[in-house]
Amino acid sequence: MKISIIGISNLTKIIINKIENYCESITIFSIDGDFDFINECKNKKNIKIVLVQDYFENLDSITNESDYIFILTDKDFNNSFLFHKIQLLVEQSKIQFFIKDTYLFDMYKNKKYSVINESSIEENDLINIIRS
Amino acid sequence: MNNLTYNLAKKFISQGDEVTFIDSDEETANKIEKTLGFISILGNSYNNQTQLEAGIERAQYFISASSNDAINFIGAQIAKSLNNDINTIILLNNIKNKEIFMGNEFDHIIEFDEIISSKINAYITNQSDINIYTDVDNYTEIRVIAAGTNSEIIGKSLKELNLPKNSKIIAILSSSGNISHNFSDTINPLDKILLQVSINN
Repeated sequence: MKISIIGISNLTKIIINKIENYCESITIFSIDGDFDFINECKNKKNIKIVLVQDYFENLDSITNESDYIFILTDKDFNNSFLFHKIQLLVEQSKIQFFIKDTYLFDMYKNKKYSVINESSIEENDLINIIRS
Repeated sequence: MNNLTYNLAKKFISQGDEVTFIDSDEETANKIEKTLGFISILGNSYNNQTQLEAGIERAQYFISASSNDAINFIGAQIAKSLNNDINTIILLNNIKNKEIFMGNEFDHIIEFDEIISSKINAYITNQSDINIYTDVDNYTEIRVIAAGTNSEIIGKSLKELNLPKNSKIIAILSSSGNISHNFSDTINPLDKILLQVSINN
């Protein structure tokens, strides 16, 4: 199973811990170099970090050949917008996007969007699929 | 806040409308207070509490006009969720993002390019100064100044206009097709002034 992750946030680290042993490859796209995290991942053969200037200019390489996509940057507005852009390219069931703000999280949850936050990881269907 | 929303707010306020700016920059908020009054709220337009503080529940319009499409998008989504009757007007900065704004969530999408082109068009329509012929032997140009419908030259006589030095008026052409050589007349809407101007050799 090939996974693409956009952004390095707290949730990125939590999700990596949960899924890294179940995936063939995980590619993390980031616009900022969190070097401690990059160093942590250096020895992991199935994790690759790609530094990019702009996520929106790299949507093709992010979506190509990946089975599932997690959008996990630190900014809710970026995650929401990236989700709306990517769902034009990839079916919604293959995408999860991180929303920190509780009002926004509930708003998207009510719209049946594939939204995730730190407290909903355990019951997240996609993570459970990847781990099964 | 930017020039676009600042000018809009000025117009709305002069019409008696109530306007509230949401901006996270304190300096911008101070600038608004100094020029337009206490009508700004410090915060992010994509935060529900900030929008509530700004009175979103009783507002008729939410104008999302930052230079970031992602912020405009999410801000308008929140505004709709807090006030289903509100009209959302969104500035689209990057045409590549148009597709995701095309759903039924938003009421009006205004493209940034559209604003620029209509502004240029309005400027050209209202007052243009176009070179139609350059005589390189005599170092002169024949130019046409169009008054349009809303130009500041309307109602003025030729003497009152700030025409280039050493320019000679050839004729005034009216919208009905009349060609006048009576240069004491005042300029009417849609008139065109034909003149010869010296250029530097």
